[in-house]
Amino acid sequence: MGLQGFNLLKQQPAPPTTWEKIYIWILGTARVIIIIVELIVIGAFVTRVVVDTQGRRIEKDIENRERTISGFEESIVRYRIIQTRTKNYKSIWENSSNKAPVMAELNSLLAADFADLRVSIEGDLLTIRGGGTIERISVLEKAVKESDSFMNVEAFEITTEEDDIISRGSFGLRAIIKAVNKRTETQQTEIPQIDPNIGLPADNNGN
Amino acid sequence: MAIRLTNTQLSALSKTPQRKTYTVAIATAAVVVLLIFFAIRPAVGSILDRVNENKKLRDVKSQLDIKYENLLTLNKAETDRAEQLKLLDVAMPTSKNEELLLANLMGLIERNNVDFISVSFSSGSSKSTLDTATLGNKTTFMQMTLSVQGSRQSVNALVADMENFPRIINIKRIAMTPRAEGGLIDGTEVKADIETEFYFYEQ
Repeated sequence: MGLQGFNLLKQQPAPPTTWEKIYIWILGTARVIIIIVELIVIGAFVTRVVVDTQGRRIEKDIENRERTISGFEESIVRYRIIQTRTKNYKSIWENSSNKAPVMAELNSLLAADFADLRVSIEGDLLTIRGGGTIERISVLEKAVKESDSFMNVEAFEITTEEDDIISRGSFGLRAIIKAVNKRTETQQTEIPQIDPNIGLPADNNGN
Repeated sequence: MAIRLTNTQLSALSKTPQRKTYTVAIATAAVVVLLIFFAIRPAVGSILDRVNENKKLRDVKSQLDIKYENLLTLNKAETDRAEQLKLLDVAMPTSKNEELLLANLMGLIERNNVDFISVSFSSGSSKSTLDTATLGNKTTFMQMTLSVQGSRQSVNALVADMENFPRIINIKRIAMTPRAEGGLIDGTEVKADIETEFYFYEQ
């Protein structure tokens, strides 16, 4: 009969091998990971359902909105025409002629005793031809030169004829009218008050 | 640490009592890997795709909402400004409508105590005084030459009325000469030839 040994020391487990470490990790941490992964998958499924529902709702809204807007199709064409006409009208109005104020000033400068007076306004070019006393002609030339409405004033074809009493002559006067197309603020308010800035949604051509 | 497992060790491992547990552990690890690559990634990916798609749809819907709001605004503006739009139909008609222009012009001539001599119309064969950008899309012009006679002040008043007339009359040229007959030689009575352009929207 042999001796049976015993050990009073606390048993010390052997240090785990690599495989044992992996084994422990798999039974512990990996299970938690699986649970988390499963929760994520469930969460993803629920989220997907929610997102899908939202998407379908938006698609339905878009469909309804398009149906509503298609009812405006004829109106859209009409609005575009009105907007273009208004815009063009405003642009033409602001750039069309405004010769009346210049003509009024000119009338005040032209003396009644000029003879054979010919006045021409073409674009911004003013041409005056006529006959009168030299004194009158000089006064007119000076007045036109001093006026703020004209620039580049130039006298031409001046001829003089002397008689016993007064000197007479014929003349030509050329000047450029400043700001012939500028309308004043007051005049601008006289155009129909149609707001050309109301935005229209862009059409398929980006207009 | 390098894992070294010989065939003998594997063989020994497969014979241990924990053999089943080891198998479960390996299967679990495989499931984790599979879940990560074949469940989470596609699930999250598809959600992100759908979220992006929804974002685009929301943008489209938002644009349509703006369009709808604009249309309602325009609809209201059209109703509110019916009177002004009627005036626009006259001021910027969709046809030449020179008869109405002429009728109004006669009214202005009469109002300013000027004598009418002649009027002629011609389509815009020559170039407009306004550039294309100013004329705008689809706007066409016609030329009208009006001859009148009267005092310089009356002609001036007529020109002012013409230039302020809602149907735009753009005066290209005015030539005033002494009145042909019956007028004063001093130049207060004149004959005026007024070359103009007027416009309409060609649909």
